[in-house]
Parts: sequence; structure tokens; C-alpha cells
Amino acid sequence: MAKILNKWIQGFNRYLKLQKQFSHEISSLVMLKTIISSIGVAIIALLIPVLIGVNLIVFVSLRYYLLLYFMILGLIFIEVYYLQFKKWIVVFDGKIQKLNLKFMFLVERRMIQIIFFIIFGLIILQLGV
Amino acid sequence: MFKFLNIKKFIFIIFYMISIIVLTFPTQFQVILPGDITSFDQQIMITDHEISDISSIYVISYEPITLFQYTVIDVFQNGQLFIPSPSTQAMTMKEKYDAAQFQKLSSYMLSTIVAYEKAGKAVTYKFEGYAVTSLFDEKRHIKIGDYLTSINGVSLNIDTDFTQFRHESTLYFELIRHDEKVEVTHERSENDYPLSLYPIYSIVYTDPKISFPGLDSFIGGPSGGMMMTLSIYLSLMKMSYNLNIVGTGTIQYDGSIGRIGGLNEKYETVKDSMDIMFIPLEQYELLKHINDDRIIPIEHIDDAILYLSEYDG
Repeated sequence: MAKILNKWIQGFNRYLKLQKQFSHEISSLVMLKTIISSIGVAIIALLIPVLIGVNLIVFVSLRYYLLLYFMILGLIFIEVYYLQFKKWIVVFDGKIQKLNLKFMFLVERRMIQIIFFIIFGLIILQLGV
Repeated sequence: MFKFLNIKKFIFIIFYMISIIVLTFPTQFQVILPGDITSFDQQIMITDHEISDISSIYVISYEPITLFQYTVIDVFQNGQLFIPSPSTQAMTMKEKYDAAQFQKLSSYMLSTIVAYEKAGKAVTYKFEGYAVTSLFDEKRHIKIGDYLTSINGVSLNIDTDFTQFRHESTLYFELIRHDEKVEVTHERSENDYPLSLYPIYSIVYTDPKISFPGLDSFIGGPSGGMMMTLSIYLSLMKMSYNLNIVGTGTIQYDGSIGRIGGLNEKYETVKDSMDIMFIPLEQYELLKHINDDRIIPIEHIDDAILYLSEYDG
């Protein structure tokens, strides 16, 4: 148990170090352009599935399936966003390749997905659907 | 300029655009779809009384639907598709929501009065006027939620015969809008829509005390009136049944049961779980072909009370 915990702490420390380096290397403009491009592509990719879900909301008997569907879409959105982020950051600033972005994005992606899962769950519990 | 656009990309873009149109483009249709049941213990509270565990049924009424929704409903045949009346089309979403809330308010107050009087409990109330729940015309001189108190000098009450104004070319309304008295003159025209009015009472005093948390919910409309009356009555009389009792129908001041919309969809909503379903007698024809002996058509709230008192399974 302690071994696993230690591994996790070490991994997180490594992530924090990478995050610090990344923030230092990257300019605000590149960051902004990358975020906009990534969100844009993720929206285009998921717009049709989201609209299908929204159209089906009127069918009350499907509500539990739809909640699950929207939760999965949310997780996929985060996945697509980070895939795109990884791609566009290199396009806008090639020298960033020297950092181990793969590990940094993996940690960040999983963290955001867990936070999304918790918030979505809390909202559902609150609504009492 | 379009060098990047090969045939595959072109087909994809066309498909994408068509999909967006199908999923967002509004049709002129409205739909009524099966909904769910609402239990009255969430909607009313009576001091020192447990609310009887019976439920009303609601359906989903939605417009305008998209092409995609139209296709799904048409293929699966699980809803009623129709073009809404010009009067409904003229109303905004907010007006429709407000109208449904005023219908619900009327229904709550009438249910309380009828149930308390039937149970022989103390209730005093005051007639406030008739709430407007549809538009006369698109000029909106009379608005949704106005309380009409008199027409052409005739004070309105629960017994007012509105046919007396049918041939009047000019109507002088006295009404209450946001707690202020307003006078409106309306010249009748052929393009006028029929005006929908609901009597509004305020409950001054009841013993035992009643409160209505359900007035804050987003579900509106008058069709829960009959079942709410029954629920309040059974609660006051401390009667309970170990049955899944559901139903739908409006309640009138004299205890008679009025028509409602979406009866087939309401039956679809509860058919797998109910033991008894009360419906208005005048709409029984709509469900007669189903041959389900759990459907009980009633004309008056007394019929439901009598049926339950004699029920032996």
C-alpha cells in the first residue's frame, strides 16, 4: 500500500515539475491559440452526438440512459480536447516537444475527468433524477 | 482556394451540415409524449395529517420539435403529433409556462375547497377573478396572468355565464395586473382567438392548515385537480389504500370532473404499474377499446370516493 502511495506521490511531483517547466516555456498567446483550436475541434467532433442527446431529452423514459450518455460524452470531450491540445501545441510552438508532454497530459486529463465525474454526479444527486 | 477539399471531405461536410439541420431545424409540430407520475406528498402538506399516497400523471408537451424528433416519434408511434392552434402559436414559451402555472394555481385552490367542504372541515376562501391563460390577440392588451374581475360592468363570479358577452362588439374589462386595477377596452374582431379563463380563489383559512409546496414546481396545468381533490379528501378523512391509485382530470367548483389532454399518453405512462386509473367519463371513449378494467371513468369526485369505499380488489 505504502509502495503504491509512494509511487503516486512521486508521479504527482514529477507532474508538478513538468507543469512548472511547461508554464515557463509557453507564451500566453500560444496557449490561447492552442486552447481555442482544441476546444473548436472537440466541439465540432462532438456536436452531432450532443445534439442527438438534446433531441432525445423529451423522451422521459430515456432519462437514465441519457444521463449516462451525457456523462460519457463529457469524458470523451476531455479526451478529444487533450488529444487536440497535444497536436496543436506542437504546431504553434515546436520547441515544446522536448518536454515529456505525454505524461503531463495524461495526469491532467485524468484529474479533470475525475473532477467532471464528481461534479456531474453531484448535480444528478441534487436534481434527484 | 478549395484545394484541400477532396471528395471524401466534401461528402463529410455535406453530411455534417445536413445532420445539424435535421437536429436543430424546428418544424411546426407540437408533440405530447408519455411522462411520469407525481405523488401528492411532494405537493401538499396538511398539519398533523399524512398525505394519501395517490398520484397524478403528467405528460410532456413540447413544441416546436425538430425534424429528428418528428422522425423518431413518427417511426416509434409513441406520441401524439399535431399542429398547435393559432392561439398557442401566438404565445411565447414564457407565456405558455406562466399560463400552465396559473391553471395549476386554480386547480390547487379548487381542489382544496372541494375536498375540505366534502370532508366537512373548515375552509374560508375568496374569489379573486378569472386568470387569463391564453391570448385574445397578438396586441396583448390583455396579458397572461391578468385577473378579470368584470366585463362590461358585470362583476364576475364562479357562476357567471360568459355566453352573455358573445355578441358584444366592444368589451370593457376590469382586471388586476400585478396587484393594480387596470381597465382595458377591446374591440372584437374576426381574428380574435378564444379566451381561456380559470377561476382563481385565495384560501383565507383552513382547519387543519394546508400549504402547497407544489406551487413552486415547474410542472403546470390543471389536469391533476381531480386526483389532488381525492388526495386531500382521503388525507383529511385519514383513509388509506394499499393500492397504486393514479388518475387524471380537472376539478370544477361543484366537484364535477372536466376534460384533459393527452389521455392515451397518460395511460401509456402508467399502464405497467397502476392498480386503478380514474379518468373523466366524457373521455372514456378514447380508452374504451383497450378493455382494461383498471380504468374507472368518473363524472364527479363522489364517484371516485364511492368506488374506493366499495373496492374489494
